[in-house]
Amino acid sequence: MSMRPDGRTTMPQQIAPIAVRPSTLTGISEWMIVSHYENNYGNAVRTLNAVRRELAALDAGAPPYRLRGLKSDELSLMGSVALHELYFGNLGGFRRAGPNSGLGRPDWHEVPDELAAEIATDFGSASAWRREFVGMAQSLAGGSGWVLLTYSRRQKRFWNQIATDHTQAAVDAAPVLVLDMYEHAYQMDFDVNATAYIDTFFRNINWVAVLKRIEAARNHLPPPTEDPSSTTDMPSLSVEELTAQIANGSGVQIVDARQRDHMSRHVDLMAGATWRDPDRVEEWIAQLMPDKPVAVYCAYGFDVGRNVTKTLIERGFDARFVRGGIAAWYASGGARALRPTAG
Amino acid sequence: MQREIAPIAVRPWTLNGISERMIVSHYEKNYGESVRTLNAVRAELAALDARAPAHRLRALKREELIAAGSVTLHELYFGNLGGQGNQIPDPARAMLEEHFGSVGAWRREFVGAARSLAGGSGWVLLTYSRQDRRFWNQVAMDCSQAAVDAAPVLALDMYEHAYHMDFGANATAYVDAFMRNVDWTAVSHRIDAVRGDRALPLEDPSDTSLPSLSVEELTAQLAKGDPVQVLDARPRHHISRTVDLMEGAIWRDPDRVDEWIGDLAPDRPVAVYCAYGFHVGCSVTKTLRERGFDARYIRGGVSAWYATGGPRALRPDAG
Repeated sequence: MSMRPDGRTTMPQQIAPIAVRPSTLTGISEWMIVSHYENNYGNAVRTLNAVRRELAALDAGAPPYRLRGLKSDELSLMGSVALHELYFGNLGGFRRAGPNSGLGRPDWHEVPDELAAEIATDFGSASAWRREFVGMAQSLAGGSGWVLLTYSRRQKRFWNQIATDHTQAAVDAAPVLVLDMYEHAYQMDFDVNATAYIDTFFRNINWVAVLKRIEAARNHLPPPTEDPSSTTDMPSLSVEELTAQIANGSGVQIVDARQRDHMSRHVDLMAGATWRDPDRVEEWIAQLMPDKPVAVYCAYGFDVGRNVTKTLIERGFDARFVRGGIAAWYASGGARALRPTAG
Repeated sequence: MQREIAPIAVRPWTLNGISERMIVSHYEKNYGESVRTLNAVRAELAALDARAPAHRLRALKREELIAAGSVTLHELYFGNLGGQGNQIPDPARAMLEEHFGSVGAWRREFVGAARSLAGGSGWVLLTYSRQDRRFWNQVAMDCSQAAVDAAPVLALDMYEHAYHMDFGANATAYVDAFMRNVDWTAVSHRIDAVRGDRALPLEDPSDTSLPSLSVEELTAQLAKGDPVQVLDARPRHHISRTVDLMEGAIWRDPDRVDEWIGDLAPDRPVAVYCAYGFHVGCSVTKTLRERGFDARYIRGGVSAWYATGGPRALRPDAG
């Protein structure tokens, strides 16, 4: 919370847990997508909060260009935060959309029938839509920007839009499919081969998420929440809440419960945490203090941390899992330490 | 799909300290040009060959975004003018207090942001994020900048075309005049709409109780040779200040319908326009319909016609 001159507090932007399971993408590495989330998305959230703190503290007598500069930065960062969340959220589909579909993704050139029906009026055909969308993405190769399939809430129509930076958007329009064409989105895996990245992106689109966004936009509803933590009622806390708990000396015990095969690939963990093998809870549970709360995190906050938390709660501990896992912690700029055995 | 010209939502002669000449020029030239450009760009996009070089597509898409932003923001701008700026209804006041601390704090930031654009260009918007469900003040340095999935509820045009004619370089005076003319009733309707998860209201001031036609429909009728009789029914004090009218139209004094109604062909449709489509054309149309004519008024009046780029002629006695 930061204090405004009028005494009001402003709500900081919180890190959203990564909506896609990073290890499940086809042809896009976990390494790249996690770097994208922790470094680029995380930095946008942190900078947005810093800019808003500066805005709140700005003196009324400050020169106008200071306000203009901060307001421009605020818009750019808000755009970056929102677009990145939408980008991660429309990746990683596990199944084809619709009733007559089984497991497996549509191939890179396929557009699900449900989407084709939605956009036929505005584009003529699904392949005409796809041709334009891909053409626009290719036109940004070697540069930067976003390509968006957008639904104008005012005109009630779909169109493909290019944003050459985070500040460009259509007025009162909901992006329903978001493709990041900044080089940080693909250089690590694809080098300068943007075409390969675009084709891979199409293979990994989560069409179910896209169709949910379309339904919400058509009904003028806000974009649906894509926080994967919202699907469980297991007690949890955000990385911001954990930071606050540590700061106020609650004596919270932080358990790093990443699986051994994940942990052994990394040299660092959350400062103050102890790594415990999630497959061997019985061996270490007795070492926890029963009268102090426990915060359990795993890599991204999907399964492992929740399972360990469940076990701890069943054994009487006041345990919560950390939403978004260690990736959200790093994205928020949280402190890290070297893992003891990492030498 | 063609984007149609929206009739100007504010009665241009009612503004306090902002001249009719400037606001109408803004509507006909800048807004009209944006609509025409948007349609032209979309026509080019539709005709673009799949093998066209990538930079052509990228450039057209950028122009489309700019023109589409300009069209919508101008419609919102005209729609939030024409009220008494110091009369903020309680719900809007409560919203500003909730999201900005106080009305004064909101106004300070909004006006400060506007002044920071003086001598440059851009927009200042009080905007509602549909995702975050919160209002904030936003600066757009050009028509392509906007927040993701967010609805502006108050739009202030800081391009110099919005004020130079009346205010010269004195942007501060323009911003003050704008704030004095804000239509908070319209803004409140927008606030209610976005908070209730609805689209922004369209704010078309046209009288829906009478048959009417858009300028695009009139253009289409004339193009296919319909024998429509086009009447310019602007009041004498208005027409005498201009030298031109819609090509093919004849001026008839709206206060003396009985003197000229006998000249109309009873078996041909009549299209009646006034300056902006608010009253005069409507009341003449009503009279003609009562007298058995197939009459319609033109939504947006001659101003909308000029905004579409419709041809104009010299008024016969304007010599």
